[in-house]
Amino acid sequence: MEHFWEINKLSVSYKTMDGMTKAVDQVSLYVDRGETIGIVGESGSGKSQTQLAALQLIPVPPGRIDEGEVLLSGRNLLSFSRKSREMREVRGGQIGMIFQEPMTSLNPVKTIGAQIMESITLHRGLAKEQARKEAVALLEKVGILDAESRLSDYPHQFSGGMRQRIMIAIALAGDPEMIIADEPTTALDVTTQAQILELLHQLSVEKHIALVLITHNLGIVARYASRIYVMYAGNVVETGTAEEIFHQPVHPYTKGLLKAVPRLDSEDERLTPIDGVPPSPANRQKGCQFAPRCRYATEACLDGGIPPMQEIAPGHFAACHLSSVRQTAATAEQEKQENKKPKPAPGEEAVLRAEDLCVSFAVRKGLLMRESGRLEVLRNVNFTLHKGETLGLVGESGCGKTTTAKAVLKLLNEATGKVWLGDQDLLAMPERTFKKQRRRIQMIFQDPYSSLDPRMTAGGIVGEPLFPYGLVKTRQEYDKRVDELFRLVGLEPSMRDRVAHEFSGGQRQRIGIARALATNPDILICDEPISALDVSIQAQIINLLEDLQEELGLSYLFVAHDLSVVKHISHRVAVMYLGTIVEITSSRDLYLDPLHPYTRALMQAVPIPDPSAEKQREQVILGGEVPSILRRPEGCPFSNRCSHATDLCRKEQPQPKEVKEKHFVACHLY
Amino acid sequence: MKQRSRFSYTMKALFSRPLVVAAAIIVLLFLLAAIFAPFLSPYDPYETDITGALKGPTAAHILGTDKLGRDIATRLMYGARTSLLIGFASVMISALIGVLIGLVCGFYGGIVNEILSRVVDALMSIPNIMLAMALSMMFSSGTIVGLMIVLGLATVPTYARIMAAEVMRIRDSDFMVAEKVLGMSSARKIFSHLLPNCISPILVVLTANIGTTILCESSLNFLGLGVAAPTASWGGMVNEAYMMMMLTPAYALAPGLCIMLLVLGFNILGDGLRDAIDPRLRGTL
Amino acid sequence: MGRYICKRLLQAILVIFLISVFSYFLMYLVPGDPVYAVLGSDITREQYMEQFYLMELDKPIIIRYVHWLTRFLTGDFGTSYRYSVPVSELLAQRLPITMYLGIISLVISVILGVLCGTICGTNRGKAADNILTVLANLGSVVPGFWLAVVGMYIFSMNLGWLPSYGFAFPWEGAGVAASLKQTIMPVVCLSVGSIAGLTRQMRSGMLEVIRQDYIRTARSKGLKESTVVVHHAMKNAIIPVVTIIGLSLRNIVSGAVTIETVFSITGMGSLLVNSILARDLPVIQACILIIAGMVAISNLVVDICYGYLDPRIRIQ
Repeated sequence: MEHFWEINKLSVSYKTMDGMTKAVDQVSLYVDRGETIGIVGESGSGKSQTQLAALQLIPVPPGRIDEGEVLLSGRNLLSFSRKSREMREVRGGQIGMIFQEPMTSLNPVKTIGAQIMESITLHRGLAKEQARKEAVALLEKVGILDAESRLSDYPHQFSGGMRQRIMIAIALAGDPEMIIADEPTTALDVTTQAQILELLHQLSVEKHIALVLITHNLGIVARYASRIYVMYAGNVVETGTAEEIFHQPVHPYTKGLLKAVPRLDSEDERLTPIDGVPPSPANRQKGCQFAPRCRYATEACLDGGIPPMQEIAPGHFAACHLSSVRQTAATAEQEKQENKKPKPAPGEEAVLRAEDLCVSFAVRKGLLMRESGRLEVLRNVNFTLHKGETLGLVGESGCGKTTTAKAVLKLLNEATGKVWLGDQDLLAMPERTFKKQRRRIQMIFQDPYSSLDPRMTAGGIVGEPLFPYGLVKTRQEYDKRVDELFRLVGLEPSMRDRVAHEFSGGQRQRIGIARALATNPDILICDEPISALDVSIQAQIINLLEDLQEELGLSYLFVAHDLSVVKHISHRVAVMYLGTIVEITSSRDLYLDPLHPYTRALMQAVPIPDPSAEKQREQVILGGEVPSILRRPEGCPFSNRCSHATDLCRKEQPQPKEVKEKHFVACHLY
Repeated sequence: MKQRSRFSYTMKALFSRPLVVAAAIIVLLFLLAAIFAPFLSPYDPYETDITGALKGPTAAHILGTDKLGRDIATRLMYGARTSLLIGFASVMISALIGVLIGLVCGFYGGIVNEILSRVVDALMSIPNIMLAMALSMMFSSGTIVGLMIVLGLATVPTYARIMAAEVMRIRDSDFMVAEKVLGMSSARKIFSHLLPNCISPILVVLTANIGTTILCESSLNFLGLGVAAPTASWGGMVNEAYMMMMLTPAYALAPGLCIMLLVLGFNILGDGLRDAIDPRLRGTL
Repeated sequence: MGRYICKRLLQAILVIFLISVFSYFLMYLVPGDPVYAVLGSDITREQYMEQFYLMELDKPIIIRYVHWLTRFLTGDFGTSYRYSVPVSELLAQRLPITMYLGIISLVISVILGVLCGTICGTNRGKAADNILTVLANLGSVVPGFWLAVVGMYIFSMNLGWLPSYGFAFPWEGAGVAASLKQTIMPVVCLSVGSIAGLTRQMRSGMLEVIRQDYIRTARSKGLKESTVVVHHAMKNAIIPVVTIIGLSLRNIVSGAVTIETVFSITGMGSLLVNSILARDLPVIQACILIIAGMVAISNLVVDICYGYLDPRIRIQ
């Protein structure tokens, strides 16, 4: 059967300082008309490169297409040159593209109208006036209000979600038969993500457009894709229908990936991470690329060449040297060893307490920079963190969760209210006094790259506070303690003398954790500690944090945007919206019985990596955009997006109430 | 120990490009010529011989003699001394002062930085050479040391500005926040973290600026506002020679070529260093 | 945008004020007695005291500065020690010549620089890029005065095509053709450095822009490569180039100092050189203040253009 879009044995390599490296290696895939497929993989797996190379959009040089063919309705696109008319007609005309970063993917100096109309006139040959009308229609279709007048606006005047809608309008402008969406929602908030995916889905159904969803997020493809390709280190390792991939995965990598991601709907059992680090294209294996990280790997896997695709079931292929029987036996063995002990219960003693914590910045206007108003980032935030407890702080961008983290660390001069560290209010203390106590409350950063001094050795970074705090007296003690800290976070002490750039992202994060632990703190503030890491590495860090908590009795304030992760790691969860905590309760309770309308919407927007579970869920997409604090509505901050909102909600801000035992909600409905 | 490996990696990236190697060789050759001038040439650069003046190239004088009968090739080597000495020293002076000012402004930011920025704007509105000319009236010029100070002071604003920007970028980075969270002292923040991280970009500017400074130095010497008469300088030689070009073209051409080559050498080294240090560009050139 | 312009305007005023402070105080740090500088050392005590009071040397330097600035603002720039004529008269003769040559050079530099830089940036690693990059590298290191000397040797002394000295405006006696001939060499020598600098800036700007996501978007729309370059890449790459036009003007004026000397052109540059050699303080002060003020104003204009070109600043 002829497929609409078919890639056969495509290989792409890049020239780097270390010679030629293979980014894509013999990848084959196909898409039929009107079908939605998912391509899943971590960074560096070649998932985007395959599609970009197929459209000859990779930079040449340093890139190079080594071999393979790309068939569009039977025509081999690689027989046309990169800049040929045929290629240009395909790009934008038959195939539209949407990219990951809506902030940088639109030309900042051209109006969005011009950017959309450009495609329309090019591919449909319409005159300017008609193109303009068409552009307005497209913008309305993708959900931009007031489309007519916004045509002459520039990209920076739109929010991230809106820009992604504009990208979709551009992709649709040439009336394509297929859309390739490269991580279309990775940079967006979860409620916006749900809106964008739903929009793409509806368009593909309505216009019978084939959709290729490239993502690292298994949940997204579970909800929308009918078939899935799993890619690893430049190879497709498994492919099949969504049900097969999620319910009967064969390849150890696919299995690992599924177990490494916390699910919103599962009880909190310990995650099973994939060991090791994702391979870099510069350093490919001789045999199966996954072998070094695979728990079942044998000699044959390591040097037996890249395993060929084998048909497991009709339409379900996997590239693995091992029979599934042997794997299953090994799995059972493995799972027996991993005891599923429950999280230890936290103590009763409060170690950190925020009381009416507010942060507001002055808004200055005019030439004299007179203060004209205050921008409230945090509004009366209250919470208590107990000994040995993990309190999750979850919310979308701009909700103030990172500001809260910084405020309790006394990093913001604008913070008011009280932050009790034991029995001392640290906001009232002068910095000079507090400095001596800083060791008690430490922080783990989001970006493992910028949070380590690039010019220091790992040992130097970890050991830096030891002497100033008098935690060690001699050089021997110092060395001993640094080695101990390295082992504690699962790093080889022999790596002490390396500088930060010689470590992978996950290892860097471990160094960051070791640094935070060096001063024997009671509390760790974790600011999005895993969001910059690859999926397979996230589980390693989550498990490490759980182990450390048990071992050292630490308390965590865990700030993240990913509700599944927060729910998994936390004892209690606080949901934030526009600078206030709207709901706070135990993580189990939050999933089973969310009370605040925003919490419910958030829950529904989080995709679950299970196609059958997804089919049973009710699909209510929360409308509207994540508002900025610049335009906070009167009364309840959520009132303008809430379907239950009454006049009272629009007038008066609700105060937190204990609706059930230890379950607080700030909502007029209760 | 690993600090060295990072250094050697940068060096490897730097010298993997033939152009950079060529530039390094040029600079090295000039450096050797300047240092070993007395051994390389049998002539005295100051001894005049009016009878043998303005002779074209001969076997004895490969570039001929100047208007006072001195060997041009020898004068060129001593001219390299002047240029390199002034180039290096004035860049050191300006970098030292500029880095300090930039560090203070960048670290404290706010109003201090605002005022400094305007002062720098004002100084940078005055063309470099004019600032140097004006300064040369103050620091009794005519000596090499005088010219070093003049050119050094004239380029202070450039460094102050780059350093302030660099410090502000690093000051706000996560690892500096981590220092605050750890409760480390200001001295440790500045000297263990801030300064070492600012060195690379300053080093890049420094290398390229040696070239620019030599260019400025030669202009001043050409105008007669640089080192005083008997001292050899390339700019001064062009000035002596250009009215007599019909007689001995090499007299005026050779020093100009020397200036170009040496400045080009430093510029390429600077560019190469930037590319080697900037990881975004690494491997793409 | 209005606020942006206001802010820049205030900054520019502050900068010009600071320049005036520098140019005044710098000159008073010059060693030597200013009275002797005006009258020479062969004077009587009465003559000395008369001049001493005339120059208000008995008053604090701040007062003298304020008086100097007030006079300056009313167009009284003092009297040249050397020529004994009002500085304003000298400047009225000299300034237009330097401005004329400088502006022509600036326009040529911007046009050629942007053009060459775009060619380089879009043909990275190809012959055109390599040749232009080598030329740009040479152009930015060649000393202007030496280029002038070599040009004079070739085109005036050997070929006899162009005059080796002097300058007159096209509307003056000698006529357009003669003026043009006199203009060619100085303008070329003045522009070479700026063309090279702008080419390098435009090239790296283009290389930076060409790897941006929105260029990938433009290509994914199926636009022609020429459309991508002209309509999408250049519009972005030119923005940072605009900011260094002020710097180019500064470099061109720098070059004027030596090049006017070589070609015996009686402009500001040669005036400044002669005044420094003669320690003619009022002229030096006026020259520096006016040139730096012009550079500051051109920076202001450039900043406003920048704001206009970049919608992210124009519309907040």
